[in-house]
Amino acid sequence: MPEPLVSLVGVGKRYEGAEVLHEVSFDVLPGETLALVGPSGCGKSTLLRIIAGLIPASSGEVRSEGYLLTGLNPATALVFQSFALLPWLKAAENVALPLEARGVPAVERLRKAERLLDVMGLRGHARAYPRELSGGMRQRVGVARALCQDPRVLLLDEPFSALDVLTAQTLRDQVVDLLRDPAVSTRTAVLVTHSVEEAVYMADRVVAMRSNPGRVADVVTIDAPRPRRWGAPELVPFVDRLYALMT
Amino acid sequence: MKPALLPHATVGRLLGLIDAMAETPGPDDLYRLAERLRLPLDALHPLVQAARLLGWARVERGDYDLTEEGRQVAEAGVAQRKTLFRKQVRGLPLVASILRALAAEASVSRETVLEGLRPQVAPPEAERQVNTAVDWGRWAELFDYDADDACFLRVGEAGRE
Repeated sequence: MPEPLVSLVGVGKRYEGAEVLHEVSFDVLPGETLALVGPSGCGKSTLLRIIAGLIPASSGEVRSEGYLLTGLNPATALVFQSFALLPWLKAAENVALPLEARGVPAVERLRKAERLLDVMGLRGHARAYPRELSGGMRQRVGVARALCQDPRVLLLDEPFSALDVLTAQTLRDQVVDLLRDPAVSTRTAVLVTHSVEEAVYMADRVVAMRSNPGRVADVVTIDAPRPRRWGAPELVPFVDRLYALMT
Repeated sequence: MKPALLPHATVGRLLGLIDAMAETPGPDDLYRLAERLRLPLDALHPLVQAARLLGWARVERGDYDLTEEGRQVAEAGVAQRKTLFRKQVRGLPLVASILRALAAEASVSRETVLEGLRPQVAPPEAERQVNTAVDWGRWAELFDYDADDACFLRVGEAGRE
């Protein structure tokens, strides 16, 4: 068994006395795409932010690459549902922004930003403002911005749920592909989604969660071959099993 | 709609449509595709128009069918899709006229392109035509566009700021 990149042991979270997460334990293994799926209110987005180090756990421990996490997790980068781009910056500048905070020289960070926009198929839009981009393109910029930080683990928080069905499907395939793309260093992802179909389509393992309080029902390995086809018959048993676990 | 005009489809949704069509290879009913995608027919319409314009799909009496080239697009990765898209888009009248202007001048103002459209279409539609041309041309990497100066530029001559 390889050393986990992220390890959660008995993680709990309380807000003003209310228990949001109860005794959550699982590992994120190198090279895998792990999906967290569950009904709204099961704490899956909170859990992702705990992994990112954006909010602390109330109990239990989170380890990243073996080290106890005490602040922001430098091994991760987060992609937001709402894209979260700065409207006054061009696409390449948005992508390069996290590198500015790290003191990377301007020429180098723009070169890297353009290379990652190219990976996302958006090299020609490097100088476009967010308002000039479609929703799908904005989210591609959001993914490029996360990848620009060379995270060991890419954290995806409902990244496709603000997109229409056509845009979402193409982008799902692109994210699956880029985690295997030699031009990208990141190989591991944690995907939060409320869509069981999406989890089964994209993930190697799925953590099924229940709510009140948020807790892990089970972890299911999706050992279907890739490339997968949306709604393929061989995926249906996994979907059924997960629905049964969550309800 | 006049055939020379661009349908208002974003590149992402157009490629999504090709992927979706490839999942249920035609010929099949468009209304059934619309149902499966949970898209109203009038939202699907400009995407289908775009697929036809690029020669990627045939549509006859409410049935669609991917062409050989459309199938290639569905199979291809991003880079190959871009090559196939560029090949078709560069010949579309509005895009071709921008490319001709850029062959003569390093930069062409949005106003110039809008003026060229004026005899054909009303002002709001002309704006939309130019916006779609910007989106397609950028994705195809045929030209660049600077929104601050409202002008088209040759690819790679955008200057590094």
